Amino acid sequence: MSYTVVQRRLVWALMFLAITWLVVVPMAGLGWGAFWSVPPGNGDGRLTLDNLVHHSLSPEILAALLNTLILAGIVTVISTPLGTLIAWLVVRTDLPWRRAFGRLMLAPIFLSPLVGVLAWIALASPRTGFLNVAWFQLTGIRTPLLDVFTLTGMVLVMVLHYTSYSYLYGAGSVRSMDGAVEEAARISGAGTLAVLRRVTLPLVMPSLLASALMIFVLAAEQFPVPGLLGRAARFDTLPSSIYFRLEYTPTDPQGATVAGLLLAAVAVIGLVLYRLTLKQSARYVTVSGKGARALPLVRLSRSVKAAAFCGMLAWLALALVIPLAAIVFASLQQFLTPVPKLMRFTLDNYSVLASSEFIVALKNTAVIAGVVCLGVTLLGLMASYLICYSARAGRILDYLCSLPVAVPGLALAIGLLWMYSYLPLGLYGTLWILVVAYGARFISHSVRLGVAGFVRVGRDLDEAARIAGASLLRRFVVIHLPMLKESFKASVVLLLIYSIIEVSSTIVLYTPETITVSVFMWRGMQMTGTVQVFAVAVAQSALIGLLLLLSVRWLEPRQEA
Amino acid sequence: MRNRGMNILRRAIVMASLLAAGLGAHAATPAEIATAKAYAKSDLAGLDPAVVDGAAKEGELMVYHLIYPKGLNGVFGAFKKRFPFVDVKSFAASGGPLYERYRTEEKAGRSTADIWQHTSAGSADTLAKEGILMNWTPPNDGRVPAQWKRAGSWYPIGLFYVSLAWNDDAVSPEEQKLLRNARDWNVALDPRWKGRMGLVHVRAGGTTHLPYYFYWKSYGEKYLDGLAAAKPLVLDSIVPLAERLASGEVSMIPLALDTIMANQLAKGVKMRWVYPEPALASAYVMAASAKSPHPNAAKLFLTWSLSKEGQAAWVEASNLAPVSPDVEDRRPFVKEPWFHKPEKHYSYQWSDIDSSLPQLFKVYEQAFR
Repeated sequence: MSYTVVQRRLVWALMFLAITWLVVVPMAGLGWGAFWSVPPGNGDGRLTLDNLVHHSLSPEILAALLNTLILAGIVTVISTPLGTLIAWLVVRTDLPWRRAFGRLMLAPIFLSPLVGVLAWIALASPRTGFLNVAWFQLTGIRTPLLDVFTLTGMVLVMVLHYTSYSYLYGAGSVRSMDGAVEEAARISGAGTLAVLRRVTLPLVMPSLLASALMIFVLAAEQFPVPGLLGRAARFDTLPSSIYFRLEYTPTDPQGATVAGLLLAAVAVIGLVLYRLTLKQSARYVTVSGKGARALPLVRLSRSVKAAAFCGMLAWLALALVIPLAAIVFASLQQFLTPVPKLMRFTLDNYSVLASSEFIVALKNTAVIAGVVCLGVTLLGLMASYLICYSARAGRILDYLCSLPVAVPGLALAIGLLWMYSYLPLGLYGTLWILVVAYGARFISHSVRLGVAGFVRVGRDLDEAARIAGASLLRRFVVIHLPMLKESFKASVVLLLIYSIIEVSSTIVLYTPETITVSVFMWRGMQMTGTVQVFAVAVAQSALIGLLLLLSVRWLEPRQEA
Repeated sequence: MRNRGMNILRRAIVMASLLAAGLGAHAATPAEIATAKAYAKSDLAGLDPAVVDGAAKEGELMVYHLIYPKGLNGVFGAFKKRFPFVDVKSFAASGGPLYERYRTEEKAGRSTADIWQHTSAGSADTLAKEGILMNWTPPNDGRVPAQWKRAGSWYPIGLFYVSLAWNDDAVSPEEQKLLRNARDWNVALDPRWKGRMGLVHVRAGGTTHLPYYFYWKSYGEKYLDGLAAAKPLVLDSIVPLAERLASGEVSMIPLALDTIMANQLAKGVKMRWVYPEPALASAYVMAASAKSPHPNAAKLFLTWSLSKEGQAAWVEASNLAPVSPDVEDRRPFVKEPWFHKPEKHYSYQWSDIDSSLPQLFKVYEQAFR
């Protein structure tokens, strides 16, 4: 056996071991929990079907499943085309301020859903939300303009958040298209709309579908929004139902585990669709070793340009400016009120940032985010390389990496809790179990970004290097990593932010020693009080804003700089 | 440039290490131990000096406690003044999650808690039966009345009252009068509160078990149906609900804790409350863990908490009513002209409440589905 073959097999084996450990162990824990008669630490149990039969048929869980599908479906249907349209406007047209819009469109991703929901509680609580009170006073109408504690309210908060994800995916796809294809269509006499419909849209369709799948899955597993708004609206989704079953008396770990499995079933359907999308994307390779042509800008008519410009301003006001202003304003109040004569302003709420518990939370968040964004990105990109360049084993690895994508963080955490309660590894109660949880949750994002990059690059460069005798690792490092730098950067930034704002799995796995900033905020809603949480939200958003400013040049492609 | 970067990194590491070292407990000095023993001898009479020595060696204490809007720096500071060699760490949560987390961690052998608190004596009894709580009697356990303790198991730190609370700015003068004169709990069923009432979910914790149990047993299921008919805002904790009352989002809460409402009152909110009779009162209870990682520190803290100084510190930090007869009631709101102490109290057994919980949850779900 040659050295190259041994090296390849070793890389394969290590990769499989790492991914399997990261992904399969919690999934196995989840499965085991669903079929085991007693929760961890409750003595000897036995295998049983009772949990599955009893819980999966219960009206509460079925209602939660239906609610999850409804909420995620509506959010996906609105967010995906909207984000792609904005991506097209920003990347491909001569819209004024398009670069600034492009940068600002990413900002809502960095505003955590928890912060977003807090802001909209301040803005659109039915009787005392700032917007509603202004509406009452301006119109004299006593019906609120928007009640955030409804399905409509939840959809609004989530669409404002997830459209930026759709933009992120759409912009990457539109930007990497070869301009020669569109140019050829124009030379053949096609107009702007015809080019958009018959050339641009089919080219971005795989990315659009992948984006839709991603948003559906993220919306389905979304916890803070239904957790804070849905409970008041009596609209439980599977994640909020899981949380409730784990937290409140009497706990129901088996019911929570079965609810997690149901959501995993939804994920399997998503995965099949994702695979089909990926197969289709092979038809749309637009970058190869032969070189590509830069994209010409589409010139919009004056009226379309004005409408698009106003639309973008309105969107950014709703998604960014108004919520941020609301949390800053609320953080300065002694107690939250929209009535001017009752308002009392103070900076005392910010003293929570000096509390020992917050400092511990900040330190933990920094450690976890640093380890996860670098470690998981590298692992994910290597895995995506093997996925793209090895047919049979790559398919298995792809499924493995994609498995946790739709499993809610809460359910994944339950799986980890089951496994690491029994495995004598000493991980339980440490920061490392959170790193493992985040790794399992986020590796699919890194892999997907890597695969999207590999799909666009094509195989000819790799094949040429292989024929010239370059090893697997050498090809990955010398050829693919430089070409994948956009994917690498996007993954590092995405995972950094995900790690900072993660709530779902942390809320199950944290201990007093391993609390994070996001969980600090969540718990603060019940403990220190909302106004103090607003102060933490302002601090978290400011920190993220700073990171964003630092990384914006790093993320921006050279030709746009 | 590279060397400069490395220097900055090195300095940052050194500073972080110093900071980490500073945040931890310092080693006990002989003088500190001697002073602490002298204090224990005079104020914690009967406490074995070996407990103080053991606590000094352990140097740490983890307290799992309930939510106190003002925080517990006052209590921990007062304890550390007497025993500076014990570094107190804490973890706070509302009743239900605190009970479930503590119980799950203890059963899995993963708990770091030395001291655990709750509002439900029934939950404490359950943990005691399961062997999770330490079976130990502090030498000063006679300082608190028998009705609020389970000798050898758990002890009180103060009393909370369930009240009917409102915001004067969110109700009309006529409604203020109606609420101020409420003599029983039926006032909550007035149709005027439709869409204006706030409640805490029955499964959220111990403080909710008592009022819902009382409503159900004293007024029947129709009372819960009446509350549900008001389409109340139901949250998972009384703290955010009190904030909603302060902002005017809800106008009235029929199961408000006076300790939490007092915090909003101190901020300048025109928060008012009455205790319809029979008044619903119970104790915040505290116990040491059987598998406490720092058993001597836990015993020391428990004993100190029962002392006059300890009880006064707890009452000061928590707005709870004192349990010990020799501790002065210094809660600011008791001097307010609208405040009236209740006379008749509801008589109940926590064991009855605890055994009725499954049925109570069903009744609640049926009413609020």
